[in-house]
Amino acid sequence: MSAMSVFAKLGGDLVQPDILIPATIPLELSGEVVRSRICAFTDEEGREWALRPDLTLPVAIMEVAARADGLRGPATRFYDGPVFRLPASKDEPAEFRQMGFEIFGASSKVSTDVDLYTAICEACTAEGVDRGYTQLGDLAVFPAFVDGLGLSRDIADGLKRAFRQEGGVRAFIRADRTGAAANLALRMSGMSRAEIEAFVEDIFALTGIRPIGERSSMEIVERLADRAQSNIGPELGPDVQKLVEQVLGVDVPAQQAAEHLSTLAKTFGIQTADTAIENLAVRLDGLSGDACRSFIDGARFQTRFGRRFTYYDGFVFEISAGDRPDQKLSPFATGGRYDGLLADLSNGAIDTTALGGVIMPYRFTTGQEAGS
Amino acid sequence: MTRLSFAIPSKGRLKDNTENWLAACGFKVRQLGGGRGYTATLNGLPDVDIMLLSASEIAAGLIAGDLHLGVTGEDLIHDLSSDAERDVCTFRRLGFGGANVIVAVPTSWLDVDTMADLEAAGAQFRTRHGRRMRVATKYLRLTRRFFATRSVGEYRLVESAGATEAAPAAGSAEVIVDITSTGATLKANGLKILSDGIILKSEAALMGSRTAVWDAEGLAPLRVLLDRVEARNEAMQTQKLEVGCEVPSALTEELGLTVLQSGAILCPVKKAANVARRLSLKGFGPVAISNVEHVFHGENAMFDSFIANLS
Repeated sequence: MSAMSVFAKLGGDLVQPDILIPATIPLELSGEVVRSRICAFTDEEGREWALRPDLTLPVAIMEVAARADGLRGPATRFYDGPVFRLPASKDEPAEFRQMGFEIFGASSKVSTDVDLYTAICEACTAEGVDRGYTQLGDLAVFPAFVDGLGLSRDIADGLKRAFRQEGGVRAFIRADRTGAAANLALRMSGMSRAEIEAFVEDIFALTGIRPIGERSSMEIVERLADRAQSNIGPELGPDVQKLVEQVLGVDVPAQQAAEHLSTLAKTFGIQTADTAIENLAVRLDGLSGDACRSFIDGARFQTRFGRRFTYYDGFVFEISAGDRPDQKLSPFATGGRYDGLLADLSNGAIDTTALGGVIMPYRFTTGQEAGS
Repeated sequence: MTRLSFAIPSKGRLKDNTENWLAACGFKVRQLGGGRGYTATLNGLPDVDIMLLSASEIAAGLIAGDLHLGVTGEDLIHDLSSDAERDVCTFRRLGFGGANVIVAVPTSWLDVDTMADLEAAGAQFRTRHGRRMRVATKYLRLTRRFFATRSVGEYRLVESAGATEAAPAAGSAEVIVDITSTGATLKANGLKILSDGIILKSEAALMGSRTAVWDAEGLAPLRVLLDRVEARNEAMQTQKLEVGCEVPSALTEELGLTVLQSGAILCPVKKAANVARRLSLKGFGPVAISNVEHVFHGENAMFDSFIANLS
């Protein structure tokens, strides 16, 4: 029994996606933060290419193409091949092997999360690694809490984006919301969209400023209108800050996560997080089966875990050697849900659920210290 | 043994200013092969190889350790090095070549005045246009680091070799990160600087490479050079007071003055006139103030701390 035969049992197709992909795909998806890790080069015509940094991305690109050609319904893809990342420390390899699979278009959410994690545990066991420490996260939890805060859309969206940046939430809450643009938006509070548009046109006419570049004056008007609106809505007051910091700080044994978050929701009167919290409880129940027990025992849940896995947006996990979080060993298996990726890659043309996981056999043996 | 290599800018105002500064320190640059040569000598320091290079070549050379010493812009060091403090030691900022590396957006972006505004505009841009907002710059690293510390993630970098300020009007980027001394070129191109968008205040500086191989052959002329640099630097902040009669040491100590000899005192420029007046009122006058060219001390703290930190 090997990892690949575990994946083959899931009933999908073995795929061999391109090693070389246009660099613009990972850079557009994840932004400049990934540039320092991507093996990229420029060709004679100035186009930038990258060696695939993982297999999820090229497999998702293949899936977008297949679905654009009319493919429907659920599909599973599994693979075994090299990926390339510029090492962050000198004991890491630039090229290493990933074995894994992706499931597209599956309907039921939480039970597929369980299937994903179970198959990854079975694959590790098949490769001779029969235990590990699991770090769990769910990137849907924080946004679900934010939705219940009654904030204006402008502030709520900003807070959700800030969640995905290192130190972003604290910076966002403390950000100085004054200045010329803020003052202008303040003067526009209570104006209709048409009035704001006329206001902006007047400013342009009086000052001789002309819009340049691709960002249109309608987009400027729209942002000002959103901000003018947010001036009327509730502020990021001390209560909101307290809740946000407490939700963000949740770092507990996995079996306490749902209860802990549920208490926070009740204390602060948040009603939008029930589904997300319920999912955590149901999922953890499913993850406690025999195949997973030696991996899930001792697992911890963190709200912030995985927020920098740029295109993941739901259940996320990592399994590493050792049995304590403070050992900080590099994970040998990782995975999660990324329901928004195919829509992102296809400009919204393809909208389908997606999740997947990989094992990285070289880390079975080395058990190296991470990121020191 | 490795001879000391010292690179200075090869053209423009930066070159002229560097040569004037070296001359003030007592070194004359003699370019070999006339005005077009790329090597030179310093009279007074025969054991040094002088090279004339572009400011960015100098920065790259210092970081890589190919050069021992150089005069270049801090902006370039901070952009090309992933850890400027580790790679390079700034001995002295030289007071010329001053400019700011800044973030600028079209003046028409009435909704954007701060980095936080830019973050929100970037997110909106991505939704509307199906791609990330582009930032044109030659300062790739500096930009990436600054945007990360301000939690701005919604952008893509576009490398720009020259005329960065024209990129928004030309449609090749929406935002720029560029160096500017007066902001006039930005204004002419319909751009404004974000109120919290100053990434770095840069000026030309004398810098030493921490990654180069340093041995006695390089350190000996470095000490000579730094002694002269410091002597000049101190002289710029010091004036000499010549006093009609000897001032008691209790009074010079109280006033924080350095006595050169009977009747000659060194005093910081800032308080020289005041001190001279007080001394004259106390009956030590007449007191004459004059500028000094160089002030040498036996020790050189700058040199000592540099060699102490060499690995």
